[in-house]
Amino acid sequence: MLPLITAAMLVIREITLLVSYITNNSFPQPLSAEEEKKCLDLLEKGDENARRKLIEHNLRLVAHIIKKFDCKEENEDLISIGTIGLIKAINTYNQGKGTKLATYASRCIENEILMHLRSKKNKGEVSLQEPIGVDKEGNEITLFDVLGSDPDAVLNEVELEIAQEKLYKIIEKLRSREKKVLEMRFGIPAGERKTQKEIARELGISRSYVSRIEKKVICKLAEEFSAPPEFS
Amino acid sequence: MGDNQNLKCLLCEESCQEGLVILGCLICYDCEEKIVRTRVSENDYILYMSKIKKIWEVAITN
Repeated sequence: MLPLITAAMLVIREITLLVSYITNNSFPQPLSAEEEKKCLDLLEKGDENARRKLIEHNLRLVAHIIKKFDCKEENEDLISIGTIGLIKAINTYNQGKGTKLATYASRCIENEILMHLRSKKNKGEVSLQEPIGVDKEGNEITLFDVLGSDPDAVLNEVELEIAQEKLYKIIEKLRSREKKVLEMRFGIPAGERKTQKEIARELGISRSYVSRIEKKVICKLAEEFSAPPEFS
Repeated sequence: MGDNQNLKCLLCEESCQEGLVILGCLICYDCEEKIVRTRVSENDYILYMSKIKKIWEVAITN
């Protein structure tokens, strides 16, 4: 029950914070079209005060855009990221292209946020406390609750070891050059992989020859792997 | 930029005369350059994010 209350409190805090960002009088109201045009003209001449004004009067835009992203747990981060997007927008905006500043800035802010979310996803960051469902009694289940030792993991590891042993035996049977190409190409056993071009240079043969050897070796490995085990 | 004479950069915390001022918080030009050049996937970006958060916090508490 306690995690649920904590989560609810966090959500309320984030929403309150976001609402206060938008409603707080500390944040300047958007500029009128005339004022904005004047600032943009001055900005083109390198006026720092105009740049400041354009950024400050568009901060509300950042808060409004963040509302579109359903990331309650990181609204504060998104506000900073959106602000960076806004600075980039004002620095790169070009009146001559015909796009309205608000449209351009919105795109830049959204783009900055999307890049952050994508980068986070690629890093595979997942919170252990993240709810992933509920049990039969309606209790929230987190990743932390279900993570344990997977019985399949042990089996997979054993299978991998057997396959590895088999692979090394097959490699031993290869011709010297084939073995060399395979080891260099797939980084066996050190893990440092080389390109066909690098191997060609090192062995003093053409890249296409390396490619042919590689294909031949892979076919041999596939055949040997699918062959029934030998009983002595 | 006369108002910024006693200000410190929000990011590097060095005293500076010039920079971008957002709601009274100053970011020196060097740090601004770093902010706009750093990719979201780089570690420094997280640091900049936490520092920039202060602009909003300061504005709300004032």
